Amino acid sequence: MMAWCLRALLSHWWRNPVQLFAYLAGLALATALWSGVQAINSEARASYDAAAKTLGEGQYDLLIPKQGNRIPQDVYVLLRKSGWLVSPVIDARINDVRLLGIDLVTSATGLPNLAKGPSAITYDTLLANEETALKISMLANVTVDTSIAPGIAIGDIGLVQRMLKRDDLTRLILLPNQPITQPSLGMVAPNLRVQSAHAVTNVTELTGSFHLNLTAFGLLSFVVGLFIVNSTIGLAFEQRRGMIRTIRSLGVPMRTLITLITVEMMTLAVIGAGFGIILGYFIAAFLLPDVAATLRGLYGAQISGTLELRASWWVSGMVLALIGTAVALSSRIWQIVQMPLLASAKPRAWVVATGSRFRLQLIIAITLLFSTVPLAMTLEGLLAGFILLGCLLIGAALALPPLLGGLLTLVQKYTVAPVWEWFWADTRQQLPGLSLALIALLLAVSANIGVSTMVSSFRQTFIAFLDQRLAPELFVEVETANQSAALEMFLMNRQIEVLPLLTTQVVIADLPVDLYGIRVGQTYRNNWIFLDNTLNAWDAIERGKAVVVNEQFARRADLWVGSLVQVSRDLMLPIAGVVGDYGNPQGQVIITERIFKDLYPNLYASNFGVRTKDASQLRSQIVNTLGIKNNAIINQVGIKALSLEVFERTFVVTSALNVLTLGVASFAILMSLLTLADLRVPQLAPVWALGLTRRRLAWLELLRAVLLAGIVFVCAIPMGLALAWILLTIINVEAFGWQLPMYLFPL
Amino acid sequence: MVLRLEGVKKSFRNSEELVPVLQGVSFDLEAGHTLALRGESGSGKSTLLHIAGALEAADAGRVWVSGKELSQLNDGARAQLRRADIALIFQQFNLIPSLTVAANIAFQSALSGTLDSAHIKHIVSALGLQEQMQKYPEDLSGGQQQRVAIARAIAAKPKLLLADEPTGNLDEVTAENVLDQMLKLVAQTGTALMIVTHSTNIADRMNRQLHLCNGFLV
Amino acid sequence: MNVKILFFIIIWPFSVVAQGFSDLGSRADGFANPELNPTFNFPTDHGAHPEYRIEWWYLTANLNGSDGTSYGLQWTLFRTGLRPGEGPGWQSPQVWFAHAAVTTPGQHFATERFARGGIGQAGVEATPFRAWIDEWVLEGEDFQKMTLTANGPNFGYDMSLQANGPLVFHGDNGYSVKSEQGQASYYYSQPFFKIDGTLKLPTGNIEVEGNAWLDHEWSSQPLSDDQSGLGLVLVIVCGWCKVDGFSTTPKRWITLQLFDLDLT
Ligand SMILES: Nc1ncnc2c1ncn2[C@@H]1O[C@H](COP(=O)(O)OP(=O)(O)O)[C@@H](O)[C@H]1O
Ligand SMILES: [Mg+2]
Repeated sequence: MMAWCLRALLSHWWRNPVQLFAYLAGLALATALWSGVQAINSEARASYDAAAKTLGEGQYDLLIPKQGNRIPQDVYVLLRKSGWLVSPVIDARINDVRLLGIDLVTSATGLPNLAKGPSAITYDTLLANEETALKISMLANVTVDTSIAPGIAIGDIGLVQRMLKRDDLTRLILLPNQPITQPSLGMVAPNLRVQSAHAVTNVTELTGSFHLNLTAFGLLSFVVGLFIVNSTIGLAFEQRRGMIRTIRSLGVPMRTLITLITVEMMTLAVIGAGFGIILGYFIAAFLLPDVAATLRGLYGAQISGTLELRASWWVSGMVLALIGTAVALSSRIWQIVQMPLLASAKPRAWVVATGSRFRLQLIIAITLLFSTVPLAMTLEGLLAGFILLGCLLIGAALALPPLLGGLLTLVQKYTVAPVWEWFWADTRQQLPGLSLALIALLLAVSANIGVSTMVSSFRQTFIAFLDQRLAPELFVEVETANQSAALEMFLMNRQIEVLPLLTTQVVIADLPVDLYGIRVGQTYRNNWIFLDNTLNAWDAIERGKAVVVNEQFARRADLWVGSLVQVSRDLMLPIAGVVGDYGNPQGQVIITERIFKDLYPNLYASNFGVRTKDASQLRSQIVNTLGIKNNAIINQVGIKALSLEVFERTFVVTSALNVLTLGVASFAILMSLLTLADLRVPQLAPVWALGLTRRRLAWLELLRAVLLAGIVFVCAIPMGLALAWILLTIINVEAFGWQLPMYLFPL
Repeated sequence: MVLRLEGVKKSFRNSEELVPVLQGVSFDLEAGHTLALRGESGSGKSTLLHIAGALEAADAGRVWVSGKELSQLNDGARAQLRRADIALIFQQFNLIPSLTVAANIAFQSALSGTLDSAHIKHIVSALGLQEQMQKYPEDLSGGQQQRVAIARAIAAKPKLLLADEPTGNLDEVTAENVLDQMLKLVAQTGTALMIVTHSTNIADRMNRQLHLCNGFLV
Repeated sequence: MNVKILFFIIIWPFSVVAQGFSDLGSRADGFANPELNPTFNFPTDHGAHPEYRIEWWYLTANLNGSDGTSYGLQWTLFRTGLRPGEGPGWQSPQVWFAHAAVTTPGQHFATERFARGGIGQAGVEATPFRAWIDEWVLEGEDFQKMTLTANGPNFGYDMSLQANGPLVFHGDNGYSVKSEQGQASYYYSQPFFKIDGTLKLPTGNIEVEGNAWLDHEWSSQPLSDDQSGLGLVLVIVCGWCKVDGFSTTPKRWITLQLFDLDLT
């Protein structure tokens, strides 16, 4: 009995392959986007974990140089011999790989893979993952170890020093359990300072918002995908009602039938979701390099460019898909159980909309939409931003069908021609059947509008910002105090405007901050645009009576123009201006050169901005006369291009997901129309009788689809802009620490 | 007694009001006997047939099929009864559109585990369906579909054969042929046959005739 | 630092030996071997012998406070060579490990230090005598009069030592046979130190005085074919230091165990 029953059920798919395709494809698309995004996220998370384990970053306080990034090895030995328990680290780049030299004998963490066996590390072998190993295998022996974070190679400190042709160190890890007596750090190593573990910004925290963004996108597409699944399951049930009735009347018990249908649909769901996971893998693999580039550009976080099949993402995709299918399926099965055997064959009453349901939907929608206003004003934090987004999206989604219904009733009222009256009435009748697909379209289109508004706003602001920040034509980096002085002298003698940049890391208002000393001049006055400032801000700064801070600092410390900033123990200055500083996670406080030199007499400017008309000639002069390395001089055009590239890549990911979501939504619309068209053939017969040709009828059907889509598009525009507003003024501030001005309808 | 109805009542809810269709119907049908049910269109013949076929429940009264009282049975037992003891030829045929004619004909007997290929072959040729076996129902004419429905019912070798206007879409010669097949089954296996028909010709060939009028048998 | 981590760190250097010399056999690894009838050359031989595989300077003391409370003190510096000899900077094959402890009637304090050779973080020089790792130092103009310091997270000490007797040579004039297979070491002691100084304990500083003895022993005997065996033994040594106090017997036990333990 089972076999014949199953044969009958399956024969439906055999005879209607398009429906089978729709069902599988709907599930596959939903699962693909979800699991793709999850795959990216879990890959990134695994990379962060590996990095945290490999570097032990954020666990221990560090000793770092007050100036520059080199510590003589003698200082290390002296510290140890004075009772300071520190472990040396050398950290530099070679061939685009971060080369980390450690001393295992004194290190606090050891290596993650040491448990695997003692043969893993030797004095003359590096450890790296496969990808990284390829890049450095010609420089040293490399043992492949997958637990090492991407982009990092670890080796014995002696080996790394030899590879880098250096004999100094980058930082010292301050080990726990220091001995009871110790001379002060200032006495032993006056050029070093302690950087507390907390001051090292945690990559996972920073990037969390970015991943939340991705997850939100994944979830959105998953919901859209489930709409498709729901409507294809609906279609399959509608079309098989007659068959189910016949099978039952020929003697198949309800229980058997339900079991078989469940097994059948869930098996297909597993297949569809399986395809989806494969597809998701490819989506993730395709997007991962861009995601990796984005994270590296924005936060300096290294994530692996290759994807691993991790249970965490494919299982979650599969489970979510099956739950979605089960929910859609159970409501249909419940209907069959409820209906008398013979009645179940009659077309469902779904085509007749009930006014009361619309009214309830409208009430909920209005409640949700109105609650966004107080929410936007009171809530704080990234999660709140997403709650706000959720209220807006769900509210709008629920409001759409009743609004459309009302609109159509209104139009119908003012129509006199019978054909058109029929047209409007008929369209309204189809609304409940189409509403899920229309909602999916609304969500997808408004997400699209929202995100593209955000991206364009971002780009416009950012290009303007680059122009202001990268005004000097050349940037020169020097290594020693002598070079610094020589370069300044050299340029002054040639009457070239030079902008020395003094910098050190300090803690202001309990935040780790980059403190800058600048030479206020025409370049700053002409090019820097304040987000907010006092009158004559630059004059006050030049006189040493005020500071400039970047937006990140202002937001985190909640100190704005007029607030006082404790620059050092004895110096308190008001903020004269706040500047936008896009794509930089660090807070900045900027003071005039003179004050900086008073505070830190031992520090010298290691970076210079140079204004010149002939950049390349000056560059070669500097290289030839001062012996500054050519690669220590950067042409501003190059930086600009690089920065732009980082930001372009950031949004490659977003726009790719955007397109995919829109694709899924269009697919949903198509499927719903197909379902309806199939069911409506009998209803069209009386209209032929009215004297309409088939051709005319086809045109009317097309018109209806275009009309509905058009209305949805119109509704999506305010939705999309509201979305963009939330993204820019709430989510972005929370996620990146700066706010963007919103450009409406940018091109 | 294969079929026995006792005071069967049935009404349908039509928008607001309750419309009575059967108002107390009682009769018996023994194995090997045939019965014609006649009545105006809308008089409730199909409804009566569905109740007798355990597809619909009576509002009041009792129905026995093969000695089992239907209201005492659960869904599983009624389904068992439907596939093993009863065969119903629907007015609208109710073929499975995605199965071939061959599969449709074999379907019920396959469900009840009494598939008899020789028997089916015989019925198929008698009803002139040999050419249509690999086609799908939608490719057949109304008359051909009706013959497939009849073949499916006869192939199941039921104890109770219920036919709802089985010859409505057939020409006279074919109709005769179909009737012959059904009567042959009655003669061979002692099936009880109840047939709804407007044709006096057919009705006259039955053992007994009943008229349904205003919800009562007359 | 727990024993498990210690285990890894000690084991690690030996893997290099295991890799580099596994096919050469333990006898032909380039380390010098103790010979019968040694002639010691002092003060040079108070210093390190990097041509031998293992070496330690091991000081133990029984102390009394002014109130008569007795204390135990211990200071050990181990050296192991991954290869014989020295190398420039980090390439030195020498690894240093030190252990210091104080026992009071109710408590035991202990701590360790680790260092790579070649960069000056640890070493032993003969003239003037100076054995150090980090800020821990045992030093003096000669082997007669020395100072000793060690520090841990919760204790430390500063001591002065004055020898009042001659060196004692173990075994056959300092050639000490450890097993029937002929494993042997060079081994001498200064058992007659007068010691006094300050114990820095969580409860406060305590002035103490008493007797101390110092062992210096070096050898190249591999413990077994499995090179990691030595690491295991060192862990056992440390474990022992932590668990037990000091007396004359356990000290002998360590040195014997180091060679007699069969770990295969
Ligand atoms: N499921 C149903 N719901 C409502 N009314 C029904 C239903 N089935 C039959 N009827 C009504 O019951 C009456 C009898 O129908 P039926 O038994 O099909 O008549 P017949 O077969 O004699 O033409 C008709 O008036 C029909 O409209
Ligand atoms: Mg009828």
